[in-house]
Amino acid sequence: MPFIITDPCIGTKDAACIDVCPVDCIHPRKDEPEFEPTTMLYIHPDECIDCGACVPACPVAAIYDSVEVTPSNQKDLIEANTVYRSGDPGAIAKAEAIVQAHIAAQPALMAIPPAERQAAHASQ
Amino acid sequence: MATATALLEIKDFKADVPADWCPGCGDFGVLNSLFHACAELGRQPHEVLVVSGIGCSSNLPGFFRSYGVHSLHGRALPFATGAKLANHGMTVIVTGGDGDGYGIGLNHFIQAMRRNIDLTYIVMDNETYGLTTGQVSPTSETGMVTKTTPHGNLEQMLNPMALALASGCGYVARGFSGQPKHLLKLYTEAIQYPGFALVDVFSPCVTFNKHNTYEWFRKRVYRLEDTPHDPTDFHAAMDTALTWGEKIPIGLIYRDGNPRSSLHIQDPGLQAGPLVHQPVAVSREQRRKLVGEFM
Repeated sequence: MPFIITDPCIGTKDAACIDVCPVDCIHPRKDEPEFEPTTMLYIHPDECIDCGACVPACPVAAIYDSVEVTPSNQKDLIEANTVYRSGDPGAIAKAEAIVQAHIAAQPALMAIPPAERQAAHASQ
Repeated sequence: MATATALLEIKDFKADVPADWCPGCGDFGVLNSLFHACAELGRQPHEVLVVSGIGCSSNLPGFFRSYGVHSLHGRALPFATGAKLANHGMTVIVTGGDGDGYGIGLNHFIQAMRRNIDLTYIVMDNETYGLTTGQVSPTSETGMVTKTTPHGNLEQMLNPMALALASGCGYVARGFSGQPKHLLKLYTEAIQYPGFALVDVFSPCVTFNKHNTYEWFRKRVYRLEDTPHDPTDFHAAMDTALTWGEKIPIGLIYRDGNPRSSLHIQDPGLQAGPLVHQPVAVSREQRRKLVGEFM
Protein backbone atom coordinates (compact mmCIF):
# COMPACT_ATOMS: atom_id res chain seq x y z
CA MET A 1 0.00 0.00 0.00
CA PRO A 2 1.19 3.55 -0.73
CA PHE A 3 2.77 6.04 1.60
CA ILE A 4 0.59 8.39 3.67
CA ILE A 5 1.23 11.98 4.79
CA THR A 6 -0.14 12.69 8.28
CA ASP A 7 -0.68 15.66 10.57
CA PRO A 8 2.88 16.83 11.32
CA CYS A 9 2.62 18.28 7.80
CA ILE A 10 -0.12 20.61 9.02
CA GLY A 11 1.60 23.91 9.70
CA THR A 12 4.81 22.65 8.06
CA LYS A 13 4.32 22.07 4.30
CA ASP A 14 8.09 22.01 3.88
CA ALA A 15 7.82 20.41 0.38
CA ALA A 16 11.25 18.73 0.60
CA CYS A 17 9.37 15.49 -0.14
CA ILE A 18 8.15 16.93 -3.45
CA ASP A 19 11.71 17.64 -4.56
CA VAL A 20 12.84 14.05 -3.98
CA CYS A 21 9.74 12.23 -5.29
CA PRO A 22 10.80 10.54 -8.57
CA VAL A 23 7.29 10.30 -9.98
CA ASP A 24 5.78 13.67 -8.94
CA CYS A 25 3.00 12.06 -6.91
CA ILE A 26 3.06 14.56 -4.00
CA HIS A 27 0.91 17.66 -4.37
CA PRO A 28 0.29 20.55 -4.31
CA ARG A 29 3.73 21.64 -5.53
CA LYS A 30 4.94 25.13 -4.65
CA ASP A 31 4.35 26.22 -8.25
CA GLU A 32 0.70 25.11 -8.18
CA PRO A 33 -1.99 27.69 -7.26
CA GLU A 34 -3.46 25.29 -4.67
CA PHE A 35 -0.26 25.36 -2.61
CA GLU A 36 -1.06 28.50 -0.61
CA PRO A 37 -4.68 27.73 0.39
CA THR A 38 -4.04 24.01 1.08
CA THR A 39 -3.31 23.07 4.69
CA MET A 40 -1.07 20.05 4.05
CA LEU A 41 0.48 17.97 1.26
CA TYR A 42 -0.89 14.70 -0.10
CA ILE A 43 0.48 11.55 -1.74
CA HIS A 44 -1.64 10.15 -4.55
CA PRO A 45 -2.06 6.43 -3.80
CA ASP A 46 -2.30 5.31 -7.45
CA GLU A 47 0.79 7.23 -8.51
CA CYS A 48 3.04 6.42 -5.52
CA ILE A 49 5.54 3.67 -6.38
CA ASP A 50 6.44 2.90 -2.73
CA CYS A 51 10.06 3.99 -3.17
CA GLY A 52 10.31 5.71 0.22
CA ALA A 53 12.44 8.65 -0.93
CA CYS A 54 10.07 11.09 0.82
CA VAL A 55 10.37 9.56 4.30
CA PRO A 56 13.92 10.67 5.16
CA ALA A 57 13.35 14.00 3.36
CA CYS A 58 10.47 14.99 5.64
CA PRO A 59 11.77 17.28 8.44
CA VAL A 60 8.83 16.42 10.72
CA ALA A 61 8.50 12.65 10.10
CA ALA A 62 4.94 13.05 8.79
CA ILE A 63 5.05 10.14 6.32
CA TYR A 64 4.09 6.53 7.11
CA ASP A 65 4.97 3.78 4.68
CA SER A 66 1.58 2.05 4.50
CA VAL A 67 -2.05 2.27 5.47
CA GLU A 68 -1.47 -0.58 7.93
CA VAL A 69 1.16 1.20 10.04
CA THR A 70 -0.60 4.57 10.00
CA PRO A 71 -1.74 5.21 13.63
CA SER A 72 -5.47 5.01 14.25
CA ASN A 73 -5.73 8.72 15.06
CA GLN A 74 -4.33 9.51 11.59
CA LYS A 75 -6.44 7.12 9.53
CA ASP A 76 -8.94 9.86 8.62
CA LEU A 77 -6.15 11.56 6.65
CA ILE A 78 -5.72 8.48 4.42
CA GLU A 79 -8.97 9.50 2.77
CA ALA A 80 -7.66 13.06 2.30
CA ASN A 81 -4.56 11.70 0.51
CA THR A 82 -6.81 9.63 -1.74
CA VAL A 83 -9.41 12.22 -2.72
CA TYR A 84 -7.11 15.19 -3.31
CA ARG A 85 -6.16 14.16 -6.83
CA SER A 86 -9.20 12.04 -7.64
CA GLY A 87 -10.11 14.43 -10.44
CA ASP A 88 -13.56 15.25 -9.03
CA PRO A 89 -14.44 18.94 -9.26
CA GLY A 90 -14.82 19.27 -5.49
CA ALA A 91 -11.91 16.98 -4.61
CA ILE A 92 -9.59 19.64 -3.23
CA ALA A 93 -12.34 21.11 -1.04
CA LYS A 94 -13.29 17.63 0.11
CA ALA A 95 -9.72 16.84 1.18
CA GLU A 96 -9.48 20.19 2.92
CA ALA A 97 -12.72 19.48 4.82
CA ILE A 98 -11.28 16.17 6.07
CA VAL A 99 -8.14 17.97 7.27
CA GLN A 100 -10.15 20.70 9.04
CA ALA A 101 -12.28 18.03 10.75
CA HIS A 102 -9.05 16.28 11.82
CA ILE A 103 -7.72 19.53 13.33
CA ALA A 104 -10.98 20.11 15.19
CA ALA A 105 -11.06 16.54 16.50
CA GLN A 106 -7.45 16.49 17.72
CA PRO A 107 -6.88 19.70 19.72
CA ALA A 108 -4.32 18.12 22.06
CA LEU A 109 -2.24 16.80 19.15
CA MET A 110 -2.44 20.08 17.26
CA ALA A 111 -1.14 21.95 20.31
CA ILE A 112 2.13 20.02 20.02
CA PRO A 113 4.75 21.52 17.65
CA PRO A 114 4.74 19.68 14.25
CA ALA A 115 8.23 18.24 14.72
CA GLU A 116 7.15 16.48 17.93
CA ARG A 117 3.72 15.37 16.76
CA GLN A 118 4.82 12.08 15.21
CA ALA A 119 6.33 10.94 18.52
CA ALA A 120 3.00 11.74 20.14
CA HIS A 121 1.00 9.65 17.63
CA ALA A 122 1.78 6.37 19.33
CA SER A 123 0.96 7.63 22.83
CA GLN A 124 -2.45 8.94 21.85
CA MET B 1 -5.77 -23.13 -17.53
CA ALA B 2 -8.86 -21.54 -19.05
CA THR B 3 -10.92 -21.85 -15.89
CA ALA B 4 -12.92 -18.79 -14.87
CA THR B 5 -10.90 -16.85 -12.33
CA ALA B 6 -11.43 -13.48 -10.69
CA LEU B 7 -9.46 -10.50 -11.91
CA LEU B 8 -6.76 -9.67 -9.45
CA GLU B 9 -5.72 -6.34 -8.00
CA ILE B 10 -2.27 -4.83 -7.72
CA LYS B 11 -1.93 -5.90 -4.07
CA ASP B 12 -2.45 -9.53 -5.11
CA PHE B 13 0.88 -9.43 -6.94
CA LYS B 14 2.78 -7.97 -3.99
CA ALA B 15 4.84 -10.53 -2.13
CA ASP B 16 5.00 -10.61 1.66
CA VAL B 17 8.58 -9.34 1.44
CA PRO B 18 8.62 -5.58 0.79
CA ALA B 19 11.18 -4.28 -1.68
CA ASP B 20 14.33 -3.19 0.13
CA TRP B 21 16.05 -1.10 -2.52
CA CYS B 22 17.46 2.28 -1.49
CA PRO B 23 14.77 4.94 -0.96
CA GLY B 24 14.08 6.58 -4.33
CA CYS B 25 15.59 3.74 -6.40
CA GLY B 26 14.25 3.61 -9.94
CA ASP B 27 13.55 -0.09 -9.57
CA PHE B 28 10.48 0.72 -7.44
CA GLY B 29 8.86 2.28 -10.50
CA VAL B 30 9.74 -0.78 -12.58
CA LEU B 31 8.22 -3.15 -10.02
CA ASN B 32 5.14 -1.03 -9.47
CA SER B 33 4.35 -0.85 -13.18
CA LEU B 34 4.79 -4.62 -13.40
CA PHE B 35 2.16 -5.11 -10.67
CA HIS B 36 -0.19 -2.90 -12.66
CA ALA B 37 0.57 -4.66 -15.96
CA CYS B 38 -0.12 -8.16 -14.65
CA ALA B 39 -3.34 -7.03 -12.96
CA GLU B 40 -4.46 -5.15 -16.07
CA LEU B 41 -3.79 -8.15 -18.33
CA GLY B 42 -5.80 -10.39 -16.01
CA ARG B 43 -2.89 -12.71 -15.30
CA GLN B 44 -2.99 -15.00 -12.27
CA PRO B 45 0.17 -15.44 -10.18
CA HIS B 46 0.35 -19.16 -11.06
CA GLU B 47 0.45 -18.29 -14.78
CA VAL B 48 3.49 -16.03 -14.44
CA LEU B 49 7.16 -16.85 -13.97
CA VAL B 50 9.61 -14.06 -13.20
CA VAL B 51 13.28 -14.94 -13.68
CA SER B 52 16.23 -12.76 -12.76
CA GLY B 53 20.01 -12.85 -12.65
CA ILE B 54 22.16 -11.14 -10.02
CA GLY B 55 22.23 -7.53 -8.94
CA CYS B 56 20.07 -5.10 -6.96
CA SER B 57 17.39 -5.17 -9.65
CA SER B 58 17.53 -8.96 -9.85
CA ASN B 59 15.97 -9.13 -6.38
CA LEU B 60 12.69 -8.27 -8.10
CA PRO B 61 11.17 -11.79 -8.24
CA GLY B 62 11.37 -11.91 -4.44
CA PHE B 63 9.01 -8.93 -4.24
CA PHE B 64 6.56 -10.27 -6.83
CA ARG B 65 3.92 -12.87 -6.02
CA SER B 66 4.21 -15.46 -8.82
CA TYR B 67 6.57 -18.28 -9.66
CA GLY B 68 10.05 -16.83 -9.48
CA VAL B 69 13.68 -17.73 -9.90
CA HIS B 70 16.70 -15.76 -8.74
CA SER B 71 19.21 -17.45 -11.02
CA LEU B 72 22.92 -16.99 -11.72
CA HIS B 73 24.69 -13.82 -12.80
CA GLY B 74 23.90 -13.16 -16.46
CA ARG B 75 22.05 -16.46 -16.79
CA ALA B 76 18.45 -15.37 -16.40
CA LEU B 77 17.75 -15.71 -20.13
CA PRO B 78 19.05 -19.30 -20.49
CA PHE B 79 16.97 -20.30 -17.48
CA ALA B 80 13.90 -18.55 -18.85
CA THR B 81 14.45 -20.14 -22.27
CA GLY B 82 14.36 -23.59 -20.72
CA ALA B 83 11.30 -22.75 -18.65
CA LYS B 84 9.43 -21.33 -21.63
CA LEU B 85 10.20 -24.36 -23.81
CA ALA B 86 9.19 -26.72 -21.00
CA ASN B 87 5.88 -24.95 -20.42
CA HIS B 88 5.09 -22.41 -23.10
CA GLY B 89 1.66 -21.77 -21.57
CA MET B 90 3.34 -19.61 -18.92
CA THR B 91 3.93 -15.88 -19.18
CA VAL B 92 7.67 -15.66 -18.64
CA ILE B 93 9.12 -12.29 -17.65
CA VAL B 94 12.86 -11.86 -17.28
CA THR B 95 14.27 -9.03 -15.19
CA GLY B 96 17.73 -7.80 -14.35
CA GLY B 97 20.14 -4.95 -14.67
CA ASP B 98 22.38 -3.62 -17.40
CA GLY B 99 25.45 -5.25 -15.90
CA ASP B 100 23.70 -8.61 -15.64
CA GLY B 101 22.12 -8.57 -19.09
CA TYR B 102 24.41 -6.46 -21.25
CA GLY B 103 27.68 -7.34 -19.52
CA ILE B 104 27.94 -10.76 -17.92
CA GLY B 105 25.02 -12.19 -19.93
CA LEU B 106 25.49 -10.37 -23.24
CA ASN B 107 25.87 -13.46 -25.40
CA HIS B 108 22.68 -14.99 -23.98
CA PHE B 109 20.89 -11.72 -24.71
CA ILE B 110 21.84 -11.88 -28.39
CA GLN B 111 21.04 -15.60 -28.75
CA ALA B 112 17.64 -15.29 -27.06
CA MET B 113 16.66 -12.54 -29.50
CA ARG B 114 17.96 -14.51 -32.50
CA ARG B 115 16.00 -17.58 -31.41
CA ASN B 116 12.96 -15.43 -30.74
CA ILE B 117 11.90 -17.09 -27.51
CA ASP B 118 8.56 -15.63 -26.39
CA LEU B 119 9.88 -13.78 -23.34
CA THR B 120 9.50 -10.26 -22.01
CA TYR B 121 12.89 -8.97 -20.97
CA ILE B 122 12.85 -5.96 -18.64
CA VAL B 123 16.26 -4.43 -18.06
CA MET B 124 16.63 -1.95 -15.22
CA ASP B 125 19.32 0.15 -16.83
CA ASN B 126 21.07 2.38 -14.28
CA GLU B 127 24.36 2.69 -16.19
CA THR B 128 26.38 1.29 -13.29
CA TYR B 129 27.00 -1.81 -11.16
CA GLY B 130 24.95 -0.71 -8.14
CA LEU B 131 25.08 -3.82 -5.94
CA THR B 132 28.87 -3.75 -5.92
CA THR B 133 28.78 0.01 -5.15
CA GLY B 134 29.35 1.76 -8.45
CA GLN B 135 31.72 0.28 -11.00
CA VAL B 136 31.65 1.00 -14.75
CA SER B 137 28.98 -0.96 -16.63
CA PRO B 138 28.41 -1.64 -20.34
CA THR B 139 25.96 1.25 -20.58
CA SER B 140 28.11 3.76 -18.67
CA GLU B 141 28.84 6.70 -20.95
CA THR B 142 32.30 7.09 -22.41
CA GLY B 143 34.25 9.38 -20.12
CA MET B 144 32.12 8.58 -17.05
CA VAL B 145 34.08 8.57 -13.81
CA THR B 146 33.35 5.55 -11.63
CA LYS B 147 35.22 3.60 -8.95
CA THR B 148 36.89 1.49 -11.64
CA THR B 149 37.39 4.33 -14.13
CA PRO B 150 38.87 7.15 -12.02
CA HIS B 151 40.13 8.89 -15.18
CA GLY B 152 36.89 8.37 -17.07
CA ASN B 153 35.47 5.39 -18.98
CA LEU B 154 37.71 4.68 -21.98
CA GLU B 155 35.28 2.28 -23.64
CA GLN B 156 32.45 2.85 -26.09
CA MET B 157 29.09 2.50 -24.33
CA LEU B 158 26.85 -0.32 -25.47
CA ASN B 159 23.65 0.55 -27.29
CA PRO B 160 21.13 -2.15 -26.32
CA MET B 161 18.40 -0.77 -28.58
CA ALA B 162 20.53 -0.92 -31.74
CA LEU B 163 21.94 -4.30 -30.71
CA ALA B 164 18.42 -5.66 -30.23
CA LEU B 165 17.34 -4.45 -33.65
CA ALA B 166 20.42 -5.99 -35.27
CA SER B 167 19.78 -9.28 -33.46
CA GLY B 168 16.24 -9.74 -34.75
CA CYS B 169 14.26 -8.58 -31.73
CA GLY B 170 10.68 -7.86 -32.85
CA TYR B 171 9.65 -5.56 -29.99
CA VAL B 172 12.16 -2.95 -28.86
CA ALA B 173 11.10 -0.30 -26.37
CA ARG B 174 12.61 1.98 -23.80
CA GLY B 175 10.99 3.47 -20.72
CA PHE B 176 11.85 5.64 -17.74
CA SER B 177 10.91 4.66 -14.20
CA GLY B 178 10.11 8.32 -13.48
CA GLN B 179 7.15 7.89 -15.86
CA PRO B 180 5.45 4.73 -14.54
CA LYS B 181 2.21 5.08 -16.50
CA HIS B 182 4.09 5.25 -19.79
CA LEU B 183 6.12 2.26 -18.64
CA LEU B 184 2.94 0.32 -17.89
CA LYS B 185 1.78 0.76 -21.49
CA LEU B 186 5.09 -0.60 -22.79
CA TYR B 187 4.91 -3.58 -20.42
CA THR B 188 1.39 -4.58 -21.41
CA GLU B 189 2.32 -4.46 -25.10
CA ALA B 190 5.58 -6.32 -24.52
CA ILE B 191 3.94 -9.11 -22.49
CA GLN B 192 1.32 -9.60 -25.21
CA TYR B 193 3.85 -9.50 -28.05
CA PRO B 194 4.20 -12.99 -29.58
CA GLY B 195 8.00 -13.23 -29.44
CA PHE B 196 11.02 -11.81 -27.66
CA ALA B 197 10.22 -8.33 -26.36
CA LEU B 198 12.81 -6.01 -24.84
CA VAL B 199 11.92 -3.12 -22.54
CA ASP B 200 15.03 -1.25 -21.45
CA VAL B 201 14.14 1.02 -18.52
CA PHE B 202 16.16 4.00 -17.35
CA SER B 203 16.11 3.23 -13.64
CA PRO B 204 18.34 5.69 -11.77
CA CYS B 205 20.65 4.41 -9.03
CA VAL B 206 20.28 7.20 -6.47
CA THR B 207 23.16 5.95 -4.32
CA PHE B 208 26.02 5.04 -6.65
CA ASN B 209 25.37 6.89 -9.90
CA LYS B 210 25.43 10.62 -9.32
CA HIS B 211 25.73 11.27 -13.07
CA ASN B 212 22.60 9.64 -14.58
CA THR B 213 20.11 11.04 -12.07
CA TYR B 214 16.32 11.47 -12.39
CA GLU B 215 17.02 15.11 -13.25
CA TRP B 216 19.52 14.07 -15.95
CA PHE B 217 16.97 11.80 -17.59
CA ARG B 218 14.06 14.19 -17.13
CA LYS B 219 15.93 16.88 -19.06
CA ARG B 220 16.65 14.54 -21.95
CA VAL B 221 13.85 12.04 -22.51
CA TYR B 222 11.01 12.63 -24.92
CA ARG B 223 8.22 10.26 -25.89
CA LEU B 224 8.21 8.79 -29.37
CA GLU B 225 4.41 8.76 -29.24
CA ASP B 226 4.57 12.56 -29.42
CA THR B 227 6.60 12.44 -32.65
CA PRO B 228 5.74 11.14 -36.15
CA HIS B 229 7.99 8.08 -35.53
CA ASP B 230 6.68 4.93 -37.23
CA PRO B 231 7.65 1.95 -35.05
CA THR B 232 7.10 -0.51 -37.91
CA ASP B 233 9.79 1.17 -40.04
CA PHE B 234 12.98 -0.77 -39.27
CA HIS B 235 15.40 1.81 -40.67
CA ALA B 236 13.67 4.68 -38.85
CA ALA B 237 13.83 2.53 -35.72
CA MET B 238 17.57 2.08 -36.13
CA ASP B 239 18.02 5.85 -36.51
CA THR B 240 15.95 6.36 -33.37
CA ALA B 241 17.88 3.68 -31.48
CA LEU B 242 21.13 5.49 -32.26
CA THR B 243 19.82 8.80 -30.90
CA TRP B 244 21.69 9.68 -27.70
CA GLY B 245 22.88 12.90 -26.11
CA GLU B 246 20.95 16.03 -25.25
CA LYS B 247 17.74 14.32 -26.35
CA ILE B 248 16.98 10.62 -25.77
CA PRO B 249 13.84 8.95 -27.10
CA ILE B 250 11.66 6.71 -24.91
CA GLY B 251 8.66 4.67 -25.99
CA LEU B 252 8.16 2.04 -28.66
CA ILE B 253 11.17 2.15 -30.98
CA TYR B 254 10.35 -0.88 -33.11
CA ARG B 255 7.57 -3.38 -33.48
CA ASP B 256 7.79 -5.96 -36.24
CA GLY B 257 4.60 -5.51 -38.26
CA ASN B 258 4.83 -9.14 -39.38
CA PRO B 259 6.34 -10.97 -36.39
CA ARG B 260 8.21 -14.17 -37.16
CA SER B 261 7.04 -17.22 -35.23
CA SER B 262 8.63 -17.65 -31.84
CA LEU B 263 10.64 -20.79 -31.19
CA HIS B 264 7.97 -22.80 -29.40
CA ILE B 265 5.58 -22.33 -32.32
CA GLN B 266 8.16 -23.72 -34.75
CA ASP B 267 9.63 -26.52 -32.66
CA PRO B 268 8.28 -29.87 -33.97
CA GLY B 269 8.47 -31.39 -30.49
CA LEU B 270 6.08 -28.81 -29.06
CA GLN B 271 3.28 -29.11 -31.61
CA ALA B 272 1.31 -31.46 -29.32
CA GLY B 273 1.24 -28.79 -26.60
CA PRO B 274 3.50 -27.69 -23.75
CA LEU B 275 6.14 -30.25 -22.92
CA VAL B 276 4.99 -30.52 -19.31
CA HIS B 277 1.58 -31.78 -20.50
CA GLN B 278 2.98 -34.36 -22.92
CA PRO B 279 3.44 -37.98 -21.79
CA VAL B 280 6.98 -39.19 -21.35
CA ALA B 281 7.24 -41.05 -24.67
CA VAL B 282 10.11 -43.36 -23.78
CA SER B 283 9.37 -47.04 -23.16
CA ARG B 284 11.01 -48.98 -20.37
CA GLU B 285 13.08 -50.85 -22.96
CA GLN B 286 14.26 -47.61 -24.63
CA ARG B 287 15.13 -46.13 -21.27
CA ARG B 288 17.17 -49.18 -20.31
CA LYS B 289 19.01 -48.96 -23.64
CA LEU B 290 19.71 -45.23 -23.18
CA VAL B 291 20.99 -45.70 -19.65
CA GLY B 292 23.12 -48.59 -20.92
CA GLU B 293 24.91 -46.25 -23.32
CA PHE B 294 26.23 -44.26 -20.38
CA MET B 295 27.38 -47.24 -18.33
